Amino acid sequence: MALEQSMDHRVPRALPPAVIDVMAPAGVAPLRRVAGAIFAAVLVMALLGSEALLNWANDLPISATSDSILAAAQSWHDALSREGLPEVATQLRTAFRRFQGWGK
Amino acid sequence: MLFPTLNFGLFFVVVFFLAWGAARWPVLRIWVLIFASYAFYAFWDRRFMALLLGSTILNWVMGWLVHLSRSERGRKRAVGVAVALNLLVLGVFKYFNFFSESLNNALASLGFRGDLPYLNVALPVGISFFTFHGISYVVDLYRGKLARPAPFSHVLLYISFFPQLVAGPIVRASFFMPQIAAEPDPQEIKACRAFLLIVGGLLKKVVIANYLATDLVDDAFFDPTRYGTLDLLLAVYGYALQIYCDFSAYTDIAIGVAALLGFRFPQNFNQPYRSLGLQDFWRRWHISLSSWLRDYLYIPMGGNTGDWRRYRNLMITMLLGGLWHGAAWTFVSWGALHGSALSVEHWLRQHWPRAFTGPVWRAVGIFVTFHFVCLTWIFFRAPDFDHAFLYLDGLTRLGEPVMLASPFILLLVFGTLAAQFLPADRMERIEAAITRAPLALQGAMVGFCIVAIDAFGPSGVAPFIYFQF
Repeated sequence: MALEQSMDHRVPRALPPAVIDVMAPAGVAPLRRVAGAIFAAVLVMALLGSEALLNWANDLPISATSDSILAAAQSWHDALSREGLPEVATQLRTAFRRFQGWGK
Repeated sequence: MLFPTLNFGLFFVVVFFLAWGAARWPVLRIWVLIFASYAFYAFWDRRFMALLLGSTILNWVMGWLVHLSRSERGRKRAVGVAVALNLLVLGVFKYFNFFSESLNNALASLGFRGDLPYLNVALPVGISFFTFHGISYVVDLYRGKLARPAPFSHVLLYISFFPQLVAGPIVRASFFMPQIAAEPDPQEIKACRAFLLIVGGLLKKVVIANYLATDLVDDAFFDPTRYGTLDLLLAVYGYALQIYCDFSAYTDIAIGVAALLGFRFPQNFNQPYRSLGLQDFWRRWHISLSSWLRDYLYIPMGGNTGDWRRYRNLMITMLLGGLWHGAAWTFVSWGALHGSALSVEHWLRQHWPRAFTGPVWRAVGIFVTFHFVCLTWIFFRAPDFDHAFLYLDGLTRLGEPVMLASPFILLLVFGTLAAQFLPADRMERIEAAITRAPLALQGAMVGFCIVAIDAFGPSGVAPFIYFQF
């Protein structure tokens, strides 16, 4: 502290604080609800992002475990495809590509 | 393991539940986070895990030496040795070949034969960051900002904590060590802000930074002779925004991830392209590095005392700041440009303070600062001086047809630039609107946003720019 004070004269203008805590004014929530929110996020991603999950499984290094993961990801994607859920991501991608190409 | 990948998503969900599951046993929680952090680092390069551990042991031991030294002289000597050893490690792995090559070239130009050897070593990921964390621990002990040396496990976690390990932000020991020692409060997780930072970061990296790179910047910097003034001007604006979106995305996600685990990180960016002058810019850009350099280098060298010494200190700080970014003369020249311009700005503010007030200065100041920063980014981005000067030459080629400016790219560039002028309390406002929804619905929205960002982005994810530093 004394050293800090002795150094203060070297910088005459007011300095911004060394550490700005970006989270300081943020609201808080208990663990149980946060865990629920993370579970909800994972569920939505699993339901709508089954194609991304399948691509990820395809890229895993080949092994007995990754074969099982790939088979499970394929079954999951097939089951959701019958319900049309992966279409949401496809439609979003198509709309975005159309927007990207607009005016070209 | 990049943040915007499924690998990291799965890793984080496992670490979240394990770390909070162990929250009742603080020692176990710390070790869970240490193992997770080393596993995260092993995904990058397991060869350098020993280096990370060695750096931690070095700083822990030196921390004790600083603490146990009875005289001020002994303490000063111990902290000096610690800083020198940290810089030696950084120098060997990051700068040895750079200095060897530079000396060999200098000797050759004088007619001597330069035979200095080259080391065949890869650059350890995150070495610039974990070295600065190590220095921060020892110096904060020396300055009395930490009352006593921390237990080894705390130093181990501080230096290796995975959200900040490979690309920052640089979290000071005096800010982070008390958080490790404190018991986490499972009733007070700043989840909504964390979700906002993570989703915003993913959008900035996966969509904005990636498309700016692939559709605009990479082509222009690869062969600037193909383009004229307007394309190259747009591309340098694009690079300014790409590097901002890329790096601030990483630190936003890191801050959000740390918050979900019960830790606080400092802010690293604050709308830097609305800066009124370079002093202001360096208070808004990579704040954790610029304030680190100020407090651990500029002020110990003498800071603002004495006219010429102030400018000398500024130049040294900015030159070393440039060199910190990479072992190349282009980075040194980037630092030199910033150092020179900062010196001029200091001089003008001292001798002509009225010029820096009023509405005219506000308009001109933001415009001039942004364009000067863009000019320096050319040296930062170009692979060598030849490319940088070709780029500068191309900026004078008026009348060439515009090839890179599609409506989408113009929207990305000018939309992102306009976002720099949003109100400073924008996060609080968004958070206030979102917190009305139940947290589970917020989680579902996060999941949907991640699916949408993944759908919008190009296939594959490019590494973050700051990983190379």
